[in-house]
Amino acid sequence: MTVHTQDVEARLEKLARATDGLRARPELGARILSAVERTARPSWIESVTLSARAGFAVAVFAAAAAVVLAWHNEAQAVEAQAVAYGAMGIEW
Amino acid sequence: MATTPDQERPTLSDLEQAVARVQSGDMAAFRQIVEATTDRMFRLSARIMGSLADAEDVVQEAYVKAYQALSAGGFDRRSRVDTWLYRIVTNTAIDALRTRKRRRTQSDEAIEPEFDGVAPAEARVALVEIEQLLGLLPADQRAAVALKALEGLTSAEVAEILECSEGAVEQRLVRARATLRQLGHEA
Repeated sequence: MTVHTQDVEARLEKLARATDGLRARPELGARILSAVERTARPSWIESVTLSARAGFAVAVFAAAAAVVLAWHNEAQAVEAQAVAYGAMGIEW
Repeated sequence: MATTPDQERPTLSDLEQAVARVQSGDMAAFRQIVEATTDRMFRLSARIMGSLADAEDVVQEAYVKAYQALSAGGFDRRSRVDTWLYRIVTNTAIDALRTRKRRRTQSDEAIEPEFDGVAPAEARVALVEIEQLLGLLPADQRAAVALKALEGLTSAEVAEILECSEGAVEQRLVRARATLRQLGHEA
């Protein structure tokens, strides 16, 4: 280690000791928590976006259920018509 | 070298429990983490930034990032909670140093933000000296010097915080010392 390097190390050690007593001021904790709360609380745009997403998911599910129900009803109607037609044939 | 009074350090299990509670949606538990670690994180930030006002901004931003990461399940417990917080503060400080350097390059003058808090005169003088001594180092070398020489961490701890090998840490420190010697700061 050179004399210059020792100088740098000694200076850094002195600076470490001098800054060892640094403490955050009490207001910093409140400032941090306030900033965290601001980011944790969604803005109105985020709220609307979240609501819209939820609404879209419900709408997609409802549409799929409606298609399945319609398909099921159509099959039942066709079957009922066929049965009725057959019944008419027997009566005739 | 740099030491921290024992009463300031919560036990590791206290922090681990608080982290688990934040991850399950308990915001109040984050207050405990902040109260238990702010002094250490502020000191680290001040030592890297060489400015009290910048240190406060960095610490605030770092805690917001930490909260967002915890809320999103981003802390995987591969490292200790305090090491993880050190990493976030260090990375935020490195980003802030780079931004500050760009801003100074563009405006061609150094605009120091105001700090209206109370700090020991000796520490204020020392931070000015840190800024003069480390000011021309690249941000990653500056952070390595602050963590090793000012915070008194081992090379292994610095490597874990900077997410690089111990060899890479040593390389940064060697380059930093060489730069400091070349610049004649050792007078």
